[in-house]
Order: sequence, then structure tokens, then C-alpha cells
Amino acid sequence: MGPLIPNGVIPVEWDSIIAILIGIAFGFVLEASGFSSSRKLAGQFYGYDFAVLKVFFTAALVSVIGVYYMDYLGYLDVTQLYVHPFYLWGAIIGGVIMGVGFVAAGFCPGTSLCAVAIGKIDAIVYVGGIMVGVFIFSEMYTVFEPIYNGYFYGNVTLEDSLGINPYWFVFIFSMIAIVAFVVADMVRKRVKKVFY
Amino acid sequence: MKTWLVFEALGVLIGAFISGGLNGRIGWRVQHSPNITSKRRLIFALGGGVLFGLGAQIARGCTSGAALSGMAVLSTGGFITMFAIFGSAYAFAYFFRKNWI
Repeated sequence: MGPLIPNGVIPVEWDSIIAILIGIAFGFVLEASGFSSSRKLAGQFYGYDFAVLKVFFTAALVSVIGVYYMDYLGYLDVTQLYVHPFYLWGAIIGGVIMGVGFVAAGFCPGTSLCAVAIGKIDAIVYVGGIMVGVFIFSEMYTVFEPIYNGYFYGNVTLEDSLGINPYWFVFIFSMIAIVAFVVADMVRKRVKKVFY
Repeated sequence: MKTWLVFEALGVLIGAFISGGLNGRIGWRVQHSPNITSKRRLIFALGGGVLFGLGAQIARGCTSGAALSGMAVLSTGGFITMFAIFGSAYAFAYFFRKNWI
């Protein structure tokens, strides 16, 4: 039956309307969780606030369990879903650059938009920075082209790359997340409190 | 402009504005640690934004688009991007500690 739009259950014209509704829900939940604060986001890297880490991994787990459970029940065909492509060095180098940007600015693009919506000037500057970064990428495309288009392994899942059973992987991943949450709480109690 | 991404980004702005409005968090301000100046905060926000924009282009997505959405379908690229982002942020956190704690 699912995914709903590609299989014609919902007409394709609804695409943009559903996108804006999902966007509103996403923005509302992010802002209501306090993720429009760069100091809260940075807390996970210094051990004084792990809310972002917990929400991030909970979100990933809920979606992956939901996707595979609905696939198991026959409501969703997981093979029809878009799988983020795997460009080995693009993912690693891009990710490392993003990590430095993350800890320098305390925002990721989604949360920065929430902060822009409530008038944080640092977030507006940050979004301006993102546009400059995208502009630099476009201008220097020939420099980045080998890692951007090279080392391509297809739109693969961990099932294809590692040959593991996805159900077992999701189970182990959930256990790792629970252990990580407990450890995060222990770290937070030991670290000096930061008020913001 | 006729792509769902534009509408989703607009939706995020609307949703966050509603939540911020309901909770009285709307207002022009620069949020930073009391140990640093607003100017320093804005410079680091700009630099971080440039890096994030560049990195997100190279990796074809950010924490939401590549890491979170990728992990939802067990994409190998999504997991590698996630580990690279968080690994490097923890590795470099030491150098930016004055900005936050």
C-alpha cells in the first residue's frame, strides 16, 4: 500500500501541502523542545545537556522501527523508499566539516530555521553563512567534484553493505541507544551545570 | 521553487513561530554564553554556517536530511554521515569550549 504518494493512494498534487504540514509539525516540535537554543544544542558536546542526543536517536529509532514494522505488516514497501546514496568520502569529509560547523555555531540547519523564526540574530547570521558555504561549494565545484561524485557505492542500506539482518540490527541499535542514554545521564550528573 | 523541500522549510519556520509565540520566546536577540561577546558569537555563527553549508553540500544532506532520514531506512551513507558529524563535533569540541562553558 505505502509509500502513499508514489503508489497513488494520495494524489501527487498533495505533495506540497503534506510537505508544509510535516514542516509545521517538525518546526513546532523542535522549537517546543528548546532546540532553537544553540547553547542547548552545544550542551551535548560538553556534557551539560543531552536532550538533543536523546531526541535525535529516539527519532531515528522510532522512524526505523516504524518503517520496518509497517513493512513487516505489509502497509509499506521498504524497497520503494528513497535510500540516501552512499558516497564514502563525500559522507566522511562532508560530515567532518559539518561537525566543526556544528560545535562552532551550535546549530544544525533545521534548528537554525527554528531559531530564525523566533528572531535569534545569531541564527540569521548562521543561515547567511550556510548560503555562503553553498555558494563556495558551487564556485569551487571542480575542486570538490572528485569526492562529491567519486567513491559511489549506490543507494545501499546496511543490509546490502554488511549483510546483516535489518531486524536484528534495529534491535541491537535500540539497545545501544538505551545504554547511551544511561551513560549520558551519568555524565551529565558529573559535569558542572551550565545555566542558560 | 516548485519542490516539496521549499514548502517543508517554510513549514518549519511557521511551526517554530507558532511554538515560540505560544511560549513567549519571540524577540530579537543574540544568544551567547555570558563569557563571550555578541560579536564573537556572531563571528562563530557565521563561520559555523559556512562550514555547515559546505559540508552539507559535499555529503548531500545535513543532520536531518542525510543522517536522520538516512538512518530511518538504514542507509549506509546516512550512518556514516551521522558518525562523521558527531565524531568530529566531539573531537573539535575542546577547541571551542570557551564559547559555551
